[in-house]
Amino acid sequence: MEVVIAICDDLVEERANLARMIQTYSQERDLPIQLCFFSSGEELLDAFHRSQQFHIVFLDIYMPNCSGMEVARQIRAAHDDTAIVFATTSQDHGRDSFDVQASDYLLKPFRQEDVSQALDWCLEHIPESVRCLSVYSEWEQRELPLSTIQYIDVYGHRSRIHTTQSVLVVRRGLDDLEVSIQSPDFLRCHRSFLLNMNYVDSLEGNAFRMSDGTLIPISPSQTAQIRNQFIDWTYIKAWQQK
Amino acid sequence: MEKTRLVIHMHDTEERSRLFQILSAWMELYCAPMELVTEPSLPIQPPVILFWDLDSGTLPPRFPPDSSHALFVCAADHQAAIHSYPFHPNGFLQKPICMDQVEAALKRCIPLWWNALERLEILSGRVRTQVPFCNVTQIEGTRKGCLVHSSLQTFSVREPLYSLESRLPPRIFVRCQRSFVVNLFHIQKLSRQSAFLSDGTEIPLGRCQKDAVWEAYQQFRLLREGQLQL
Repeated sequence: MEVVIAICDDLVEERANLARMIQTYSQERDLPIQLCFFSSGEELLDAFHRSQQFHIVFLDIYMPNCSGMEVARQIRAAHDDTAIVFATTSQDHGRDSFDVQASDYLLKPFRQEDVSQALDWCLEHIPESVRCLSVYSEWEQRELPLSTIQYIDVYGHRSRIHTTQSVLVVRRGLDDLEVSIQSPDFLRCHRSFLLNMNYVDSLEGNAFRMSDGTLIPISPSQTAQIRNQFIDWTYIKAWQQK
Repeated sequence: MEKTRLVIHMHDTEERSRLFQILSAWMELYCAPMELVTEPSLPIQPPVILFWDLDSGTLPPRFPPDSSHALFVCAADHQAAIHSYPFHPNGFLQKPICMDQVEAALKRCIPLWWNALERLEILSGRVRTQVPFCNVTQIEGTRKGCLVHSSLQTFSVREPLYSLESRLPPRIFVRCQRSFVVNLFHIQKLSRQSAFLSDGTEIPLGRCQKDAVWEAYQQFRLLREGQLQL
Protein backbone atom coordinates (compact mmCIF):
# COMPACT_ATOMS: atom_id res chain seq x y z
CA MET A 1 0.00 0.00 0.00
CA GLU A 2 1.31 3.43 -0.91
CA VAL A 3 1.10 5.78 2.06
CA VAL A 4 0.01 9.30 1.16
CA ILE A 5 1.52 11.93 3.46
CA ALA A 6 0.86 15.67 3.43
CA ILE A 7 3.35 18.22 4.80
CA CYS A 8 1.90 21.62 5.59
CA ASP A 9 4.37 24.32 6.63
CA ASP A 10 4.80 27.89 5.44
CA LEU A 11 8.62 27.60 5.45
CA VAL A 12 10.08 25.86 2.43
CA GLU A 13 13.24 24.68 4.26
CA GLU A 14 11.11 23.11 7.02
CA ARG A 15 9.06 21.24 4.42
CA ALA A 16 12.25 20.00 2.73
CA ASN A 17 13.81 18.95 6.04
CA LEU A 18 10.75 16.96 7.08
CA ALA A 19 10.42 15.41 3.62
CA ARG A 20 14.03 14.20 3.84
CA MET A 21 13.34 12.48 7.16
CA ILE A 22 10.16 10.86 5.85
CA GLN A 23 12.01 9.62 2.77
CA THR A 24 14.78 8.15 4.93
CA TYR A 25 12.08 6.34 6.94
CA SER A 26 10.45 5.08 3.76
CA GLN A 27 13.78 3.70 2.46
CA GLU A 28 14.60 2.03 5.77
CA ARG A 29 11.19 0.33 5.94
CA ASP A 30 10.95 -0.28 2.19
CA LEU A 31 7.59 1.48 2.28
CA PRO A 32 6.21 3.23 -0.80
CA ILE A 33 5.10 6.76 0.02
CA GLN A 34 3.69 9.73 -1.83
CA LEU A 35 4.45 13.18 -0.44
CA CYS A 36 2.24 16.21 -1.01
CA PHE A 37 3.37 19.70 -0.01
CA PHE A 38 1.25 22.62 1.16
CA SER A 39 2.51 26.06 2.12
CA SER A 40 -0.64 27.15 3.97
CA GLY A 41 -3.57 25.76 5.89
CA GLU A 42 -6.01 27.02 3.26
CA GLU A 43 -4.22 25.04 0.53
CA LEU A 44 -4.42 21.87 2.62
CA LEU A 45 -8.11 22.39 3.41
CA ASP A 46 -8.78 22.94 -0.31
CA ALA A 47 -7.24 19.55 -1.00
CA PHE A 48 -9.51 17.98 1.65
CA HIS A 49 -12.53 19.68 0.11
CA ARG A 50 -11.55 18.22 -3.26
CA SER A 51 -11.78 14.80 -1.51
CA GLN A 52 -8.05 14.17 -1.72
CA GLN A 53 -7.22 11.49 0.87
CA PHE A 54 -4.15 11.43 3.07
CA HIS A 55 -3.10 8.77 5.52
CA ILE A 56 -1.00 11.19 7.58
CA VAL A 57 -0.75 14.99 7.76
CA PHE A 58 2.28 16.76 9.25
CA LEU A 59 1.06 20.17 10.32
CA ASP A 60 2.90 23.28 11.49
CA ILE A 61 0.93 25.44 13.93
CA TYR A 62 2.19 28.98 13.44
CA MET A 63 1.28 29.84 9.85
CA PRO A 64 -0.08 33.10 8.42
CA ASN A 65 -3.91 33.43 8.20
CA CYS A 66 -5.13 29.99 9.25
CA SER A 67 -3.22 28.32 12.12
CA GLY A 68 -2.43 24.62 12.05
CA MET A 69 -4.69 24.08 15.05
CA GLU A 70 -7.61 25.68 13.20
CA VAL A 71 -6.89 23.49 10.16
CA ALA A 72 -6.88 20.40 12.39
CA ARG A 73 -10.22 21.44 13.94
CA GLN A 74 -11.76 21.84 10.48
CA ILE A 75 -10.44 18.45 9.40
CA ARG A 76 -12.01 16.83 12.46
CA ALA A 77 -15.24 18.82 12.09
CA ALA A 78 -15.63 17.19 8.68
CA HIS A 79 -15.40 13.81 10.52
CA ASP A 80 -12.15 13.03 8.77
CA ASP A 81 -9.98 10.77 10.91
CA THR A 82 -6.71 11.24 9.01
CA ALA A 83 -3.73 10.95 11.38
CA ILE A 84 -2.49 14.41 12.33
CA VAL A 85 1.06 15.00 13.55
CA PHE A 86 1.90 18.51 14.69
CA ALA A 87 5.43 19.61 13.78
CA THR A 88 5.93 22.98 15.41
CA THR A 89 7.99 25.28 17.62
CA SER A 90 4.91 26.06 19.75
CA GLN A 91 4.78 24.59 23.23
CA ASP A 92 1.40 26.14 23.97
CA HIS A 93 -0.95 23.82 22.11
CA GLY A 94 -0.38 20.48 23.81
CA ARG A 95 -3.79 20.41 25.45
CA ASP A 96 -5.56 21.55 22.27
CA SER A 97 -3.76 18.85 20.30
CA PHE A 98 -5.64 16.21 22.29
CA ASP A 99 -8.96 17.87 21.46
CA VAL A 100 -8.27 17.25 17.77
CA GLN A 101 -6.97 13.75 18.54
CA ALA A 102 -3.51 14.33 17.16
CA SER A 103 -1.32 11.24 16.78
CA ASP A 104 1.86 13.02 17.83
CA TYR A 105 3.32 16.41 18.64
CA LEU A 106 6.88 17.02 17.43
CA LEU A 107 8.76 20.03 18.76
CA LYS A 108 11.17 21.66 16.33
CA PRO A 109 14.02 21.01 15.91
CA PHE A 110 13.18 17.30 15.90
CA ARG A 111 15.32 14.30 15.03
CA GLN A 112 14.94 11.49 12.53
CA GLU A 113 14.16 9.19 15.45
CA ASP A 114 11.16 11.35 16.50
CA VAL A 115 9.72 11.35 12.98
CA SER A 116 10.23 7.59 12.64
CA GLN A 117 8.47 6.90 15.94
CA ALA A 118 5.55 9.12 14.95
CA LEU A 119 5.24 7.35 11.59
CA ASP A 120 5.48 3.90 13.21
CA TRP A 121 2.57 4.79 15.48
CA CYS A 122 0.45 6.27 12.70
CA LEU A 123 0.96 3.28 10.44
CA GLU A 124 0.06 0.86 13.24
CA HIS A 125 -3.16 2.80 13.81
CA ILE A 126 -4.43 3.51 10.32
CA PRO A 127 -8.01 4.76 10.71
CA GLU A 128 -10.96 2.76 9.40
CA SER A 129 -11.76 5.30 6.73
CA VAL A 130 -8.44 4.79 4.94
CA ARG A 131 -7.85 1.08 5.60
CA CYS A 132 -7.78 -1.16 2.53
CA LEU A 133 -8.62 -4.76 1.70
CA SER A 134 -6.04 -6.49 -0.44
CA VAL A 135 -7.61 -8.82 -3.01
CA TYR A 136 -6.60 -10.60 -6.19
CA SER A 137 -9.19 -10.16 -8.88
CA GLU A 138 -9.18 -10.19 -12.67
CA TRP A 139 -5.49 -11.13 -12.77
CA GLU A 140 -4.30 -8.27 -10.66
CA GLN A 141 -3.72 -7.39 -7.03
CA ARG A 142 -6.01 -4.60 -5.86
CA GLU A 143 -6.26 -2.42 -2.79
CA LEU A 144 -9.91 -1.69 -2.02
CA PRO A 145 -10.55 1.05 0.55
CA LEU A 146 -12.93 -0.45 3.14
CA SER A 147 -14.97 2.75 2.95
CA THR A 148 -15.91 1.96 -0.69
CA ILE A 149 -17.16 -1.59 0.00
CA GLN A 150 -20.95 -1.70 0.33
CA TYR A 151 -21.41 -5.42 0.89
CA ILE A 152 -20.00 -8.80 -0.02
CA ASP A 153 -22.02 -11.87 -0.96
CA VAL A 154 -21.24 -15.50 -1.64
CA TYR A 155 -21.05 -16.37 -5.35
CA GLY A 156 -20.65 -20.14 -5.75
CA HIS A 157 -17.25 -20.95 -4.25
CA ARG A 158 -16.20 -17.35 -4.66
CA SER A 159 -17.28 -14.00 -3.25
CA ARG A 160 -18.58 -10.88 -4.92
CA ILE A 161 -17.41 -7.55 -3.53
CA HIS A 162 -19.89 -4.79 -4.28
CA THR A 163 -18.11 -1.45 -4.13
CA THR A 164 -19.38 2.02 -4.91
CA GLN A 165 -17.81 1.75 -8.38
CA SER A 166 -17.97 -1.88 -9.47
CA VAL A 167 -18.48 -5.52 -8.54
CA LEU A 168 -15.36 -7.67 -8.13
CA VAL A 169 -15.36 -11.46 -8.01
CA VAL A 170 -12.62 -12.95 -5.84
CA ARG A 171 -11.58 -16.54 -5.13
CA ARG A 172 -11.88 -16.17 -1.38
CA GLY A 173 -14.53 -17.37 1.03
CA LEU A 174 -16.66 -14.95 3.01
CA ASP A 175 -15.21 -16.14 6.35
CA ASP A 176 -11.71 -15.40 5.10
CA LEU A 177 -12.68 -11.94 3.86
CA GLU A 178 -14.44 -11.19 7.15
CA VAL A 179 -11.23 -11.98 9.06
CA SER A 180 -9.17 -9.74 6.75
CA ILE A 181 -11.61 -6.87 7.04
CA GLN A 182 -12.08 -7.09 10.83
CA SER A 183 -13.83 -3.77 11.09
CA PRO A 184 -16.51 -2.63 13.54
CA ASP A 185 -18.35 -1.09 10.56
CA PHE A 186 -18.96 -4.49 8.96
CA LEU A 187 -21.71 -6.88 10.02
CA ARG A 188 -22.12 -10.53 9.14
CA CYS A 189 -25.88 -10.46 8.97
CA HIS A 190 -26.28 -13.77 7.14
CA ARG A 191 -24.19 -16.82 6.26
CA SER A 192 -23.88 -15.45 2.72
CA PHE A 193 -23.67 -11.70 3.34
CA LEU A 194 -21.24 -9.31 4.97
CA LEU A 195 -22.31 -5.69 4.84
CA ASN A 196 -20.86 -2.28 5.56
CA MET A 197 -23.32 -0.64 7.97
CA ASN A 198 -22.37 2.80 6.66
CA TYR A 199 -24.36 1.92 3.53
CA VAL A 200 -27.51 0.70 5.28
CA ASP A 201 -30.47 2.91 4.52
CA SER A 202 -33.01 1.26 6.81
CA LEU A 203 -34.11 -1.88 8.57
CA GLU A 204 -37.10 -3.45 6.82
CA GLY A 205 -38.52 -6.39 8.75
CA ASN A 206 -35.96 -9.14 8.43
CA ALA A 207 -33.73 -7.38 5.95
CA PHE A 208 -31.46 -4.39 5.51
CA ARG A 209 -32.26 -1.91 2.74
CA MET A 210 -28.95 -0.68 1.34
CA SER A 211 -28.43 2.80 -0.07
CA ASP A 212 -28.35 1.38 -3.63
CA GLY A 213 -31.77 -0.22 -3.05
CA THR A 214 -30.57 -3.80 -2.57
CA LEU A 215 -32.36 -5.81 0.11
CA ILE A 216 -30.00 -7.95 2.21
CA PRO A 217 -31.56 -10.68 4.37
CA ILE A 218 -30.90 -11.13 8.07
CA SER A 219 -30.25 -14.66 9.28
CA PRO A 220 -33.64 -15.84 10.66
CA SER A 221 -32.04 -17.58 13.65
CA GLN A 222 -30.19 -14.40 14.71
CA THR A 223 -32.67 -11.65 13.89
CA ALA A 224 -32.82 -10.08 17.35
CA GLN A 225 -29.07 -10.25 17.92
CA ILE A 226 -28.23 -8.73 14.53
CA ARG A 227 -30.84 -5.98 14.82
CA ASN A 228 -29.45 -5.10 18.25
CA GLN A 229 -25.90 -5.11 16.90
CA PHE A 230 -26.96 -2.69 14.17
CA ILE A 231 -28.87 -0.45 16.57
CA ASP A 232 -25.87 -0.36 18.91
CA TRP A 233 -23.57 0.53 16.02
CA THR A 234 -25.81 3.46 15.00
CA TYR A 235 -25.85 4.77 18.59
CA ILE A 236 -22.08 4.42 18.96
CA LYS A 237 -21.54 6.20 15.64
CA ALA A 238 -23.87 9.02 16.70
CA TRP A 239 -22.07 9.38 20.06
CA GLN A 240 -18.69 9.48 18.36
CA GLN A 241 -19.81 12.20 15.97
CA LYS A 242 -21.38 14.40 18.65
CA MET B 1 -15.82 -10.95 27.37
CA GLU B 2 -13.99 -9.43 30.35
CA LYS B 3 -15.51 -6.32 31.90
CA THR B 4 -13.74 -2.99 31.58
CA ARG B 5 -12.55 -1.38 34.83
CA LEU B 6 -12.07 2.30 35.54
CA VAL B 7 -8.73 2.77 37.29
CA ILE B 8 -7.37 5.91 38.94
CA HIS B 9 -3.64 6.11 39.61
CA MET B 10 -3.21 9.33 41.53
CA HIS B 11 -1.16 10.11 44.65
CA ASP B 12 -2.81 13.42 45.53
CA THR B 13 -5.69 12.23 47.75
CA GLU B 14 -7.83 15.33 47.24
CA GLU B 15 -7.59 15.15 43.46
CA ARG B 16 -8.12 11.39 43.57
CA SER B 17 -11.34 11.60 45.56
CA ARG B 18 -12.53 14.39 43.27
CA LEU B 19 -11.99 12.23 40.19
CA PHE B 20 -13.59 9.27 41.99
CA GLN B 21 -16.65 11.41 42.67
CA ILE B 22 -16.85 12.59 39.04
CA LEU B 23 -16.50 9.08 37.63
CA SER B 24 -19.14 7.74 40.02
CA ALA B 25 -21.49 10.51 38.90
CA TRP B 26 -20.69 9.78 35.25
CA MET B 27 -21.62 6.10 35.75
CA GLU B 28 -24.92 7.17 37.32
CA LEU B 29 -25.69 9.60 34.50
CA TYR B 30 -24.92 7.15 31.74
CA CYS B 31 -26.29 4.13 33.64
CA ALA B 32 -22.99 2.39 33.04
CA PRO B 33 -21.95 0.56 36.22
CA MET B 34 -18.30 -0.46 36.13
CA GLU B 35 -15.71 -1.43 38.71
CA LEU B 36 -13.90 1.72 39.89
CA VAL B 37 -10.47 1.14 41.40
CA THR B 38 -8.34 3.80 43.10
CA GLU B 39 -5.35 1.85 44.33
CA PRO B 40 -4.52 -0.51 41.50
CA SER B 41 -2.07 -3.34 41.79
CA LEU B 42 0.62 -3.18 39.12
CA PRO B 43 0.88 -4.18 36.32
CA ILE B 44 -2.54 -2.92 35.30
CA GLN B 45 -4.37 -5.49 33.21
CA PRO B 46 -6.65 -4.56 30.31
CA PRO B 47 -9.51 -4.11 29.54
CA VAL B 48 -9.13 -0.87 31.42
CA ILE B 49 -9.76 2.86 31.22
CA LEU B 50 -6.83 4.28 33.15
CA PHE B 51 -6.49 7.80 34.57
CA TRP B 52 -2.82 8.43 35.35
CA ASP B 53 -1.47 11.41 37.22
CA LEU B 54 1.77 12.62 35.59
CA ASP B 55 2.45 14.85 38.60
CA SER B 56 2.90 11.80 40.83
CA GLY B 57 6.36 11.33 39.31
CA THR B 58 5.83 7.84 37.91
CA LEU B 59 5.44 7.07 34.24
CA PRO B 60 2.28 5.46 32.87
CA PRO B 61 2.45 1.90 31.53
CA ARG B 62 2.91 1.21 27.85
CA PHE B 63 0.03 -0.90 26.62
CA PRO B 64 0.13 -3.11 23.53
CA PRO B 65 -1.28 -1.40 20.41
CA ASP B 66 -4.84 -2.71 20.59
CA SER B 67 -8.24 -1.45 21.60
CA SER B 68 -8.46 -3.12 25.01
CA HIS B 69 -7.42 -0.05 26.97
CA ALA B 70 -7.61 3.71 27.10
CA LEU B 71 -5.10 5.91 28.88
CA PHE B 72 -5.90 9.42 30.07
CA VAL B 73 -3.05 11.40 31.59
CA CYS B 74 -3.66 14.19 34.09
CA ALA B 75 -1.42 17.08 35.14
CA ALA B 76 -1.67 20.59 36.50
CA ASP B 77 0.64 22.05 33.85
CA HIS B 78 -0.75 22.00 30.31
CA GLN B 79 2.75 21.64 28.83
CA ALA B 80 2.88 18.12 30.28
CA ALA B 81 0.48 17.20 27.48
CA ILE B 82 3.24 17.45 24.85
CA HIS B 83 5.68 15.34 26.86
CA SER B 84 3.06 12.60 27.35
CA TYR B 85 2.90 11.78 23.62
CA PRO B 86 5.46 8.92 23.83
CA PHE B 87 2.83 7.03 25.87
CA HIS B 88 0.15 7.77 23.29
CA PRO B 89 -2.63 8.60 25.73
CA ASN B 90 -6.18 8.89 24.47
CA GLY B 91 -6.54 12.22 26.20
CA PHE B 92 -5.06 14.81 28.53
CA LEU B 93 -6.96 16.18 31.52
CA GLN B 94 -5.71 19.38 33.11
CA LYS B 95 -6.21 19.59 36.87
CA PRO B 96 -8.51 20.47 38.54
CA ILE B 97 -10.50 17.89 36.61
CA CYS B 98 -14.16 18.61 35.91
CA MET B 99 -17.12 16.57 34.59
CA ASP B 100 -16.93 18.12 31.09
CA GLN B 101 -13.35 16.92 30.68
CA VAL B 102 -14.23 13.41 31.87
CA GLU B 103 -17.27 13.23 29.58
CA ALA B 104 -15.25 14.33 26.56
CA ALA B 105 -12.48 11.89 27.45
CA LEU B 106 -14.79 8.91 27.84
CA LYS B 107 -16.41 9.66 24.49
CA ARG B 108 -13.06 8.76 22.94
CA CYS B 109 -13.23 5.19 24.13
CA ILE B 110 -16.92 4.35 23.72
CA PRO B 111 -16.39 0.72 22.61
CA LEU B 112 -14.68 0.03 25.95
CA TRP B 113 -17.72 0.94 28.07
CA TRP B 114 -20.57 0.40 25.64
CA ASN B 115 -21.30 -3.10 26.90
CA ALA B 116 -21.55 -1.83 30.47
CA LEU B 117 -24.58 0.34 29.64
CA GLU B 118 -27.82 -0.70 31.29
CA ARG B 119 -30.63 -1.07 28.81
CA LEU B 120 -34.37 -0.92 28.49
CA GLU B 121 -35.63 -4.16 27.02
CA ILE B 122 -38.67 -3.71 24.82
CA LEU B 123 -40.66 -5.83 22.43
CA SER B 124 -41.23 -3.90 19.25
CA GLY B 125 -42.43 -5.34 15.95
CA ARG B 126 -42.13 -8.87 17.41
CA VAL B 127 -38.41 -8.31 17.98
CA ARG B 128 -36.88 -7.93 21.43
CA THR B 129 -34.68 -4.84 21.39
CA GLN B 130 -32.42 -3.39 24.06
CA VAL B 131 -32.02 0.37 24.01
CA PRO B 132 -29.38 1.92 26.30
CA PHE B 133 -31.17 4.04 28.94
CA CYS B 134 -28.95 7.01 28.12
CA ASN B 135 -30.22 6.95 24.53
CA VAL B 136 -33.90 7.02 25.47
CA THR B 137 -34.99 10.66 25.26
CA GLN B 138 -38.66 10.30 26.29
CA ILE B 139 -41.46 7.77 26.52
CA GLU B 140 -44.91 8.73 25.38
CA GLY B 141 -48.00 6.90 26.48
CA THR B 142 -50.51 6.14 23.71
CA ARG B 143 -53.84 4.33 23.55
CA LYS B 144 -52.24 1.08 22.47
CA GLY B 145 -49.13 1.23 24.62
CA CYS B 146 -46.11 3.51 24.32
CA LEU B 147 -43.75 5.16 21.92
CA VAL B 148 -40.18 4.91 23.12
CA HIS B 149 -38.28 7.79 21.55
CA SER B 150 -34.53 7.35 21.37
CA SER B 151 -31.92 9.71 19.97
CA LEU B 152 -32.07 7.93 16.60
CA GLN B 153 -35.38 6.16 16.24
CA THR B 154 -38.77 5.57 17.78
CA PHE B 155 -40.03 2.16 18.88
CA SER B 156 -43.69 1.35 19.21
CA VAL B 157 -44.40 -1.02 22.10
CA ARG B 158 -47.59 -2.52 23.52
CA GLU B 159 -46.57 -2.19 27.15
CA PRO B 160 -48.34 0.52 29.21
CA LEU B 161 -46.38 3.57 30.39
CA TYR B 162 -46.54 2.74 34.11
CA SER B 163 -45.02 -0.66 33.44
CA LEU B 164 -42.13 0.75 31.40
CA GLU B 165 -41.65 3.53 33.95
CA SER B 166 -41.13 1.00 36.73
CA ARG B 167 -38.09 -0.34 34.86
CA LEU B 168 -36.41 3.04 34.40
CA PRO B 169 -33.66 4.38 36.69
CA PRO B 170 -35.39 7.11 38.75
CA ARG B 171 -32.28 9.28 38.99
CA ILE B 172 -32.41 10.21 35.30
CA PHE B 173 -36.06 9.66 34.34
CA VAL B 174 -38.99 11.68 35.56
CA ARG B 175 -42.72 11.70 34.77
CA CYS B 176 -43.46 15.23 33.55
CA GLN B 177 -47.14 14.76 32.74
CA ARG B 178 -49.77 12.03 32.58
CA SER B 179 -48.47 10.54 29.34
CA PHE B 180 -44.81 11.55 29.22
CA VAL B 181 -41.66 10.36 30.97
CA VAL B 182 -38.50 12.26 30.03
CA ASN B 183 -34.82 11.58 30.39
CA LEU B 184 -33.31 14.48 32.35
CA PHE B 185 -30.09 13.92 30.44
CA HIS B 186 -31.80 15.15 27.27
CA ILE B 187 -33.46 18.24 28.73
CA GLN B 188 -31.83 21.31 27.24
CA LYS B 189 -33.94 23.87 29.04
CA LEU B 190 -36.60 23.74 31.70
CA SER B 191 -39.19 26.48 32.25
CA ARG B 192 -42.12 26.56 34.68
CA GLN B 193 -44.40 25.39 31.87
CA SER B 194 -42.34 23.08 29.66
CA ALA B 195 -39.29 20.90 29.22
CA PHE B 196 -37.34 21.55 26.02
CA LEU B 197 -35.44 18.50 24.82
CA SER B 198 -32.18 18.39 22.86
CA ASP B 199 -34.03 17.15 19.74
CA GLY B 200 -36.24 20.27 19.74
CA THR B 201 -39.33 18.68 21.31
CA GLU B 202 -41.27 20.75 23.83
CA ILE B 203 -43.12 18.78 26.48
CA PRO B 204 -45.59 20.70 28.67
CA LEU B 205 -45.28 19.97 32.39
CA GLY B 206 -48.36 18.60 34.13
CA ARG B 207 -49.75 20.72 36.99
CA CYS B 208 -49.22 17.98 39.54
CA GLN B 209 -45.75 17.08 38.28
CA LYS B 210 -44.16 20.55 38.01
CA ASP B 211 -42.53 20.60 41.43
CA ALA B 212 -41.33 17.01 41.19
CA VAL B 213 -39.76 17.70 37.79
CA TRP B 214 -37.97 20.79 39.07
CA GLU B 215 -36.69 18.94 42.12
CA ALA B 216 -35.47 16.00 40.02
CA TYR B 217 -33.81 18.38 37.57
CA GLN B 218 -31.97 20.24 40.34
CA GLN B 219 -30.70 16.93 41.73
CA PHE B 220 -29.68 15.88 38.25
CA ARG B 221 -27.75 19.15 37.69
CA LEU B 222 -25.90 18.65 40.97
CA LEU B 223 -25.02 15.12 39.92
CA ARG B 224 -23.94 16.36 36.49
CA GLU B 225 -21.65 18.93 38.10
CA GLY B 226 -20.16 16.30 40.40
CA GLN B 227 -21.55 18.02 43.51
CA LEU B 228 -23.95 15.35 44.67
CA GLN B 229 -22.64 12.88 47.24
CA LEU B 230 -23.49 9.38 46.02
